[in-house]
Amino acid sequence: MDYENTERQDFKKIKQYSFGDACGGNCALEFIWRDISDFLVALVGIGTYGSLLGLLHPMLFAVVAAVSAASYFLTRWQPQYYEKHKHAFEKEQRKLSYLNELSENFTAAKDIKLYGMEPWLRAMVRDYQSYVLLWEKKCSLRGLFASLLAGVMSFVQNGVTYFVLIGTWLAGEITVGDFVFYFGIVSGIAGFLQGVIRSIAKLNTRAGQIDYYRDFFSYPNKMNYGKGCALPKDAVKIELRDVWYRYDKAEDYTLKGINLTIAGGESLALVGLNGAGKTTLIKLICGFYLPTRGEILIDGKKMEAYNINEYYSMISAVFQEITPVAFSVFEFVASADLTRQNAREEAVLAMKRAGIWEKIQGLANGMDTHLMKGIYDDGVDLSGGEMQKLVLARAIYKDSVILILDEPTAALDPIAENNLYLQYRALTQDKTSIYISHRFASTRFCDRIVLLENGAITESGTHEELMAQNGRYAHMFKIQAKYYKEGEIHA
Amino acid sequence: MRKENITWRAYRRYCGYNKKYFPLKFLHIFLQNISPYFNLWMSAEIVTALSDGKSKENLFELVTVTLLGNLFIHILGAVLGRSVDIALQILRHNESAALNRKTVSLDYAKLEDPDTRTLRRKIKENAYINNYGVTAMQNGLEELFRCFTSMLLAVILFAEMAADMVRAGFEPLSVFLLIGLIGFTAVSIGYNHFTQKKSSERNRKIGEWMLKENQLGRGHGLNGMDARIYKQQDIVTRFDTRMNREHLRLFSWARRQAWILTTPYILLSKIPEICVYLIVCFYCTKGIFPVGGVIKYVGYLNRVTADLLAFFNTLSDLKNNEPFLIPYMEYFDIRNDMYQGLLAVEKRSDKKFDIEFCDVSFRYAGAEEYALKHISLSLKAGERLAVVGG
Repeated sequence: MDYENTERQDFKKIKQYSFGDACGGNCALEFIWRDISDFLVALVGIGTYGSLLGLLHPMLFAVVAAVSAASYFLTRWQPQYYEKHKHAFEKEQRKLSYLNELSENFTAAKDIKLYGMEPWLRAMVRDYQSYVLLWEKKCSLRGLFASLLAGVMSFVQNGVTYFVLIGTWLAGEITVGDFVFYFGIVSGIAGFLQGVIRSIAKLNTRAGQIDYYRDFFSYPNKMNYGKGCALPKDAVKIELRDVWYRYDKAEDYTLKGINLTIAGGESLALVGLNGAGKTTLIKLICGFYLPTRGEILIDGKKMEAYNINEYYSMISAVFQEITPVAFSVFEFVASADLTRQNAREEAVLAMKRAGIWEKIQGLANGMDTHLMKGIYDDGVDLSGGEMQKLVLARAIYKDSVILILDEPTAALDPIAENNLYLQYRALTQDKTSIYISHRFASTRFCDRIVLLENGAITESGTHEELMAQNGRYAHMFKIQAKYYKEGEIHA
Repeated sequence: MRKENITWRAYRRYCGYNKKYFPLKFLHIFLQNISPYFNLWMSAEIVTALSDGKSKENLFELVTVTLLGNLFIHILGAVLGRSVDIALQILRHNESAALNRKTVSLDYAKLEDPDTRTLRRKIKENAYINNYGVTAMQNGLEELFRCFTSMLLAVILFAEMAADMVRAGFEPLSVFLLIGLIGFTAVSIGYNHFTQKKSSERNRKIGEWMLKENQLGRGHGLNGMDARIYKQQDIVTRFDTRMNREHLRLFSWARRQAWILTTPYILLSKIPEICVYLIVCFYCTKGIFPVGGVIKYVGYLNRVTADLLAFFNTLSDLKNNEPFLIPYMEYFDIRNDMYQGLLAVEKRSDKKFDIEFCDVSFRYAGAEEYALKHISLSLKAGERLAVVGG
């Protein structure tokens, strides 16, 4: 499915409903079979019992049917009320679960203790609990009334049954044994009739829930999953022509009229303040989003011409969010291409270049140790900096023609950071690469620098050209540089 | 610690969460137990009246009593049931609040301590497997009470039946059947007791597997961008297939085991039922019991034997549950080490403080190496210290 879809509001809602249903104890896909079989059983029961009863006294059957139907329809509002308000309630219930989990969260405990948040959290939990309790009270009140009504209905039904059966017996048409027999049948049939009506209603609800699954699976994709043109073999030229992009449900455009050409084999540095649109720009180049306006050309062809999965194989990217997955270290690094010849040797080489091999080598199972200690007992939790080196190793291993690095040194100490800078030229040989960072030291080893401000490119050129221009770039560079120089700092 | 102690301790703590719950619940259970006995009694009376050829007015009286009685019990039960539901909700809320309060009030060092985390994890895990722990204790105690009151009510009503039987005198066939009844009930109880170990072992295996599934599943949540670029989905799909295969294998095995164990039990427990029918029909044909007696006495005897079996089953369930209560109670018993005292801290009027480390060394709980070794530094009020390092 398109990556962009996962960020859309309506898709998130569909996903939440369908996952919520699947993970709850009352999953529609599972229980629909049980409901169908209940329905069939009840149907057969009505058939057999009904024919027996009908032989004796058709009117009795009619009365029982009428009472069961009345009983169902009168008590329907309880489940209806629940279904209608369920979503609001689930939202509050989730907030309560979140707060409960928060107190268990040992990482949050530091903040909770330092800032004395405990009374505040406790008050919030109490509030949510009383809201949830209010909801429960409302539901159970309706349940109570429904139950009382059911009792009255049952009273009426049994009364009529006794009346009819005793009357028949007094008239001498049935024996005592028959009396017990028919009484049992009436109770049984009442149960089946109610069961049938209930099953129909339940199947209705289930069908509604299954609709969510259907919507989830048939959510439309806009990217090209079919046949695409051949992938370029040499260094790739990336061209953005008047690209505009706006996020789903946002008012303003994040990128406004970007015109950018990156020649094959060029390494570009992308700088700018927070929120300028740098990450959005590279996500567009990676093929995660489709531009709202304008087009992106890869190697002279529009991006839509490529099959999107083949397109992804052309990109090695290191993003800011690092998500550890409970794979073994080898699988984590080499997942893009496990069937490569010498996969293990190349993985070791990639990890050496990223500076993480020493740590991995020292682990109990080496490269086959699992990540995430909470998931596997013999797993390992790597620190922030170590994970950053590992994801760099992953990108190095994949070795594809486009390399994109978004703040790859944010968690690294100065020695490790320098290690990357020294290797950068070698790493990006024959590749088109983009480097995003706040640390202006990184711009020194890139071929060209582009400054992004409020979604538009304002300055572009080599470091020397931009310093000579004395514009925003030069200003920002000087601000950061002054703290590394000797001498007095003026605030 | 004597074994009974822990269930009792857990019960007292549980009651503390909502004092109203258990009294209301026990009342409700008692009421619900009356309903079937009442019905049995009244239907028997009606059938007897029919076969004895009583008058229409008499029958009318009986029917009215039955219907109104049922309605009354139903209404009372519904109202009480609602109060019980609300009380249970309040109890659950208070329980989770108590657990959270305990967690938040722990020393930070205790929080990081792997032992504490293990306890906390175990409590959650036990609840996940079959609700072991306090919930199982609650359900078990309620079930015990139900069986107990049911048997009590039956015994009171038995007096009638026993009186009739005794008056009829000694009948070899009936004595033989009675011995059969009691004997097979005892055998069923014994059988259940001895297979208890196997079934709880099976439950434990399934529960552990589901926990593992849950845990491993949590470690395979993928970031959409990484997944696409680094083809992580393939590995996850292979993993899922392996897990599903194992899941199927385990559950089929469990099903087979359950079937093998419970089939003899079902057969064994049917025999007392047969004996009951035979005894009652025998006395009915002899005219010692009224016609309605078939309905009444068969009903009572079957209920009593079923409840007796359930009573002993629940007792062994409760005993089984005790090891799972231990982490729960231990968690609440954790003591804090940090200074909880009222020693006054000398406050300066400008609200600034000097901080001084005097030869401080620190090692994390469960670690071998020292993280800090012989640190001495002092920070005067108003100073700014930068901490750098590799």
